[in-house]
Amino acid sequence: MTDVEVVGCGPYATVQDLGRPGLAHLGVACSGAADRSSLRLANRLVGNAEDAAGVEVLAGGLALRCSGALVAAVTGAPVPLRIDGRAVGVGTALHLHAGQVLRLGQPVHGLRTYVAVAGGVAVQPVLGSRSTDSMSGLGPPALATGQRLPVGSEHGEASTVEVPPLSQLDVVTLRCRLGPRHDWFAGETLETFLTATWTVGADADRVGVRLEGPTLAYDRDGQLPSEGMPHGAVQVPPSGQPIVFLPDHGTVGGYPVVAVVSEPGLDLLAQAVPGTAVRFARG
Amino acid sequence: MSWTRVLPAGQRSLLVDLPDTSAVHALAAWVRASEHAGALEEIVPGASTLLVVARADRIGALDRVAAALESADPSSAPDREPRTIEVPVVYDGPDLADVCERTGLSRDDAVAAHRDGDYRVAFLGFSPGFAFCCGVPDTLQLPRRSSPRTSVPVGSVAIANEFTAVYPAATPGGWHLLGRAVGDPMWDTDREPPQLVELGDRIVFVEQS
Repeated sequence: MTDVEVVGCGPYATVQDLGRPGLAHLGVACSGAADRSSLRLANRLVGNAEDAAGVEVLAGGLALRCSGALVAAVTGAPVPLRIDGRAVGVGTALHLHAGQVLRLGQPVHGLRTYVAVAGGVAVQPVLGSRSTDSMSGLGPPALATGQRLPVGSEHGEASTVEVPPLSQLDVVTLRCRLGPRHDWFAGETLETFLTATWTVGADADRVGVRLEGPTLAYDRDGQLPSEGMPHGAVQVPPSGQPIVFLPDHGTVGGYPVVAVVSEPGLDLLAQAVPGTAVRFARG
Repeated sequence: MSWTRVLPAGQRSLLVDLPDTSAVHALAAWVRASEHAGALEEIVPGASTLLVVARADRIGALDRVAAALESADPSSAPDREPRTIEVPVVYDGPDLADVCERTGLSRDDAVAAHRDGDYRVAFLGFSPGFAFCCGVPDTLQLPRRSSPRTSVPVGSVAIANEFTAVYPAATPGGWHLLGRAVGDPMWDTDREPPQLVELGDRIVFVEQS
């Protein structure tokens, strides 16, 4: 079986597929790729099923040496990319010979780069998924230099197209629907939420992204009993600074959810570095 | 039915407000057994809510699910017989003295109050296998600690408000630690099913010396 050796892994690289949906009632977060459309694209380029496991690379730095011939593709946050020192492009199938090293630099913009390999990363699944859940520890640990990742053998034909890299956005617009707990906020507070320009805070990981901006004060007293949290929930803790939940978020929470962001917006948010401007829009 | 209130929760979710835990369990059982179950990715009970999430390829079914939830008759749901699960506990937790001081109970009375409570699994959440068990006696109820611990040892038996729980893994946590469970783990991914307890199960804490 072909495998790849991790010869460099940057600050935080994890195996991710599309996660473990259907287990939230047991407290198991869905997890999976934070920018799902980028992982899907990388898988399509190498001829995998869209839900195959690849590597999610935070802030670049991954380097993989393959033991045999390998087809790979790199999507998401664009990075300088080299095979044995030769510059190659993101967004297209790359054909590596045995022993060659694929090396990712740091993102030109964006945060998370995805590497798919034909056949998929074939680490042992846990509860039906190979994803690392950064919160609960389910799935494989984060990648470490020197580790070898098994690669599966089943895949289709690699694509011959080249897709343009992810574009850089001056302002990330998150389409959302108000509720379920928008009645915890006065009308003018909801107006503020929808019209303000927010800033991605330093407190941003696979669990959620804290946004900095005006304070969203509650319009009522009391506590909310713990309730289920959907993907993209915009939870407002007592500090009034909202948190948008990403794939490793807790399945239940006790603070009101003012709105829920639709999934394309979550992919964009997963690429937003601290300091990025964010706006909400209804729809 | 007038006792449900269905709230929007994004493009593919609905949140149903319910009067109490038993209504949540009844509606969850009804939804799982209904014709709509196949269109749903998640059915997530909370303390007094039920979150339902449609599969990404079945978002169109959400309106029908909402109408069904409004008119559901959970009394027709299949009943699952709750089990009684015994959890052996050594009451030597780091917060026991503090809990005694804040509740005015002696060490023995605090332990007896916890041990003799009538507990049911209300819902699971927070982390895999973390079962919120309701039924902590009024005399022992305390809000969460003002400063959460960055890591609570696995197996810790803890209380917060009306809930008690056994930490299924070492995680951050803000509950008061009364002791440690020394029996079967609450969560084990190599076991089928991985969770020790299910919704509605009765939990009996058995004091070990």
